[in-house]
Amino acid sequence: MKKMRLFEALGKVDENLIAEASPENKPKKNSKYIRWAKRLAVAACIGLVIIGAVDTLGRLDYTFKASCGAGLGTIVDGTYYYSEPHKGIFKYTPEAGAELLLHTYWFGEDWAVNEYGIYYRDDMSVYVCDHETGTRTKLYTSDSAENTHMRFQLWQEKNILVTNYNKNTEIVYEVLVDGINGEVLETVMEKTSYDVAKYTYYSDLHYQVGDREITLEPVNENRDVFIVLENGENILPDDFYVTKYPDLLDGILIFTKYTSIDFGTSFVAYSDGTNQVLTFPTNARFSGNDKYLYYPDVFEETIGCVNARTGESWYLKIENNGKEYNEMHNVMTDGEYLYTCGPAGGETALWKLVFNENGTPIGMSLIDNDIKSEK
Amino acid sequence: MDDKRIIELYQKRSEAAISETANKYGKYCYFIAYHILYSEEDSEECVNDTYLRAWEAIPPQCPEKLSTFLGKITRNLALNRYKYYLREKRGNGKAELVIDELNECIPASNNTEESVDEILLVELLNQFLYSLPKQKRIIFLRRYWYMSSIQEIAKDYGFSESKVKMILLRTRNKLKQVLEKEGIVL
Repeated sequence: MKKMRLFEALGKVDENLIAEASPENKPKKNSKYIRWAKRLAVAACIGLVIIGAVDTLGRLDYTFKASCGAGLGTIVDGTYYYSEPHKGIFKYTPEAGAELLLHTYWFGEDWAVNEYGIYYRDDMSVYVCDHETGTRTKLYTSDSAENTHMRFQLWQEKNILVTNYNKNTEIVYEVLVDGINGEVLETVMEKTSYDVAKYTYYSDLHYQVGDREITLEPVNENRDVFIVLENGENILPDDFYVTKYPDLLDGILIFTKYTSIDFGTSFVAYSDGTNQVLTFPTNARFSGNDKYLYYPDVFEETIGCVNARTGESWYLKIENNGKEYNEMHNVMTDGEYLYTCGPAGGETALWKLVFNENGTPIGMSLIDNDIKSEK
Repeated sequence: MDDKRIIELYQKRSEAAISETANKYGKYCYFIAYHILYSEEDSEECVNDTYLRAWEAIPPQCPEKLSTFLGKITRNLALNRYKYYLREKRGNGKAELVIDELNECIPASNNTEESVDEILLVELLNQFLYSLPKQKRIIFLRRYWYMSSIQEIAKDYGFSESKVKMILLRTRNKLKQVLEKEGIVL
């Protein structure tokens, strides 16, 4: 086998290379930022993906409740990406400020970022702009003879999930496309009427956390109450059902219990293969990862923090040095910085998280009350 | 004990060479074996076989780097056992997943072309690896030499898992380009 030949040849490469890569030579971690910021990139990205995939079939509610909130962008590899209507997509770092990456003149929310590049839709095509080379590649073009419009979202590391609509015939279908070379990999939802599709969207029923593939299966006639399946087995406790649209963050997937009584009770699946039921102090969407979750508490006018393993929660202490800042209705974090904005977007404030000696986040210190303003 | 002293013990045919090797490199060898076999028992046997092979090989050999000398022996032994299990349709398929990823590096070819000599292939791989930025090189070898899982690499280097996957994907694509450019047939 050719792959085995290559694998065996790799086994004979220079000993200095092997020694250099030895697991015993783990790099020294220079700060908690590294562990947090980089790992949280995925979570942030997912938040944006959801926002970027606003469709016209009644899913608007969900997208605007998505984990990063309405007015916020996304964080990938410690860089914050956001869009401004009729201007384009910007990247921002606390050190370097904002930089315009792409001029855009289309509806400004149909874009997404992952580790590979910036994905955007222009009319009936999806493009990617490679972070490393800046090369723009057309990945997919929807057949305009067959479809009237389309949307896309990032899907599991490096693919995109494209939804093609025909508003005249009210038919929709979804295809999975390689996010680097544009190869159409699979039709994940065959042509389906709008009425049926609202129950069967692939992206609504399939999730991946780490290597775990998890699907939802409806158990009632209205198809709005679900069990959670992994390898065909229901992994929920007895008499436990969940609603759709979990929080999918880095290393953690949080399903809200279907109930009107147990406020905040959720079924939590972690990428390490463990599951547990936790009761959170909120039903708000979280930002964060499998260690700490963050949510805006509008009444307390601060950000709440939850230990993602124990459910223990507390509020972050605000240090604003007398500077004014907008209400915090949405939060996005990379584990070192917090980005917050009001209910309708508006100014995006930048905060630095404050940790105690154990590495537990206890406060937030205001750095900039409007990162988008001209300085 | 430093490597020179351990090698001296081998050369003197002192059995302490084995215990000193086990003390210093037992965990390292076990790591390599386990990431191919995913079985404690098999991995321990592989590590013990590694000591035996080292005992047989030194002298006459006098390795410059004892760690990678032992690592290579362990990897080969584990790989042989892995292939045996593959034929027997046993094993858990984790190593297969890693090896399958290398399919993406293989240039298309027709069957009439003659495959490249392994020495040339190894030389080309060395050149390719040295041309990579250090971090990408290390991550590539952690995955395809040490067979580490994506989660382990991400944890060790403070990256997200998707970042690690992206680095590996880009590196595999680059390797494929290099092999194609050099007209390599596997």
